[in-house]
Amino acid sequence: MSKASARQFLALTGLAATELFRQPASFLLILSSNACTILTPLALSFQLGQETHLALDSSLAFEFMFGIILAGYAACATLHNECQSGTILIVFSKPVSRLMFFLAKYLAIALLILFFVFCSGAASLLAGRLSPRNFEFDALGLRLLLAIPLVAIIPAALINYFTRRSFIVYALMGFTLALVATVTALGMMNGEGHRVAFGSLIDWRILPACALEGIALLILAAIALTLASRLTTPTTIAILAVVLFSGLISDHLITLLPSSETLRFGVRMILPDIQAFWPADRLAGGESLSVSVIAHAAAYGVAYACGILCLGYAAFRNRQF
Amino acid sequence: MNDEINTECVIEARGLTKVFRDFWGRPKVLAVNGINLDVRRGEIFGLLGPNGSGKSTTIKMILGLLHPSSGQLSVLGQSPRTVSVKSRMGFMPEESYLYKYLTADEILNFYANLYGMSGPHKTERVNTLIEQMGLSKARDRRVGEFSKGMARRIGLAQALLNDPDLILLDEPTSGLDPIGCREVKDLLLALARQGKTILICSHHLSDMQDICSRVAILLQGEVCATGSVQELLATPDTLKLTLRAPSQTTLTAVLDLLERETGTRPQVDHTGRTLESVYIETVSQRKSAP
Repeated sequence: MSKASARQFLALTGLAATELFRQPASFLLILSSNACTILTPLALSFQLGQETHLALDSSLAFEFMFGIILAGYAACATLHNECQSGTILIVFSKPVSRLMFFLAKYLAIALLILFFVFCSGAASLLAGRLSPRNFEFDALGLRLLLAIPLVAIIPAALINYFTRRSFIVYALMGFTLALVATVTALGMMNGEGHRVAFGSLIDWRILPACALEGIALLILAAIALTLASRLTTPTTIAILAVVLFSGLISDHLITLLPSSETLRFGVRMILPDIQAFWPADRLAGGESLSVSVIAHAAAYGVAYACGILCLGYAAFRNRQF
Repeated sequence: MNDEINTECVIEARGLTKVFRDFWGRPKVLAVNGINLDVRRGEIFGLLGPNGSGKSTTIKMILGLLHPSSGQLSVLGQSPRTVSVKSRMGFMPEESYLYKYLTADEILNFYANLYGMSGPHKTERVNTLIEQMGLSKARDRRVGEFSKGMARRIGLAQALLNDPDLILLDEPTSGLDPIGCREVKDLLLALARQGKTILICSHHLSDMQDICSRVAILLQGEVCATGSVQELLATPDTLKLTLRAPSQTTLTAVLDLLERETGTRPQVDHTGRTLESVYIETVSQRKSAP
């Protein structure tokens, strides 16, 4: 890749990523996902010792649920809307190849998804740490939680008022910093505010689990981008939901098919094996996710996403505007 | 040598046809129907026609954004779908399709990056165009806050970033005030003098008449008339004579003489200024007043 091509690619990716991170919907989806993740354990009291387990399960479910909405929305906001608004006409009047444009869009969506996964990981750690133990809530932790939206929103509003810079970008930055600071603070103390060894009360197994789901979301983002060159946001998200749930039960679906090996192989190739990215069952059994499990899933994810992106590019290459 | 250069075809279309099809592949609209077009180097070529006559479709095919259903199309000697040929082209669409949350400066830098420009050359080019378009005071304002005329200026600036050999403009003077309109027309004439080829679509016939060397009139996807503006406007058996007003006796004698010669009484009008010239003069005087 020449320097000029690299500059083009960075410009396209940078603009698409900036556009996605500036979208109010991106901020609201990330905020809602993390709020649901953190607050749900508080409603899960009296679960006979299963509170932490349920908190982790629900946080993984929220990551998937909000993740597919974010992936579908981001793909359509960056590609479908660009086609609809006409800005793509000017971009393609420049010496920009369609492959580069398509890959730049995917990279921008992947950056947003990775950011979402990072926030979800932090929120999940908080959810596990704050789930009630012995029917008691962590009052100190709850107070710190209340401070997160204030730390995120007030400085962003002031910056926007005085400098006219993007509220959303600064709110997102403030929110992330507050989230990480809260995890760090709560990692160093127990419910009574006494200092403990850092992280001793946190279930760190959730982090590789979130990363595993992140890989699945990157696959779904590739599918979303492929669809977004033709379809609108609601349709794209609806199809992603169908793919997600079919992928989660793909093993069962395949047993329902006629016993033709070719047919079963074909369906196995088409449907993403989302089960490989659903770690809740392993975590429930007390296992940790080994590096080999994550590496295996990552290799599958990369191969599948590349295949989907090739199909997406083949459809986009001949798109007329 | 000059003649050779001037007759070099920058855009060459033969039997160019575009049919839009529905989901099932059935023909829906015949937008362009077998047109032949030769746009030569250094000329300003106007594409005229009513709405839906196929002007924008033709421009999009020249840009490689739409693929011809049949026929041949060559742009700067290459297929319009070749990516590298676009580094010698500039395009300003009919609407200001700009990223509304970027400032004028950011948007031009973004497009300059797409041309692979960098360093002092990029900065200098962006600064020159911002100044040339009269947007120096608005360079840090978001494009979304711009008036239509200002957005058109940014649209034109991005089309000229790479100092293109071929410039495609869809309604370039739409939304501009008369002075802006005059500035754009002067700029286009200057670019043509530098050897740039310019293809314009417009409904503003007076603007086209002012600047185009040749035009083609499209109707329902077909070229109805083509030729140089002088050729199309000329009426060989009619003359226009402008002179300082003589005395009434002399005028009557001349008119009688001409009536005997031609068989029709000549029409006499007082020459007047155009509203455009009055407007430009008035606004310029007010602006230059201390």
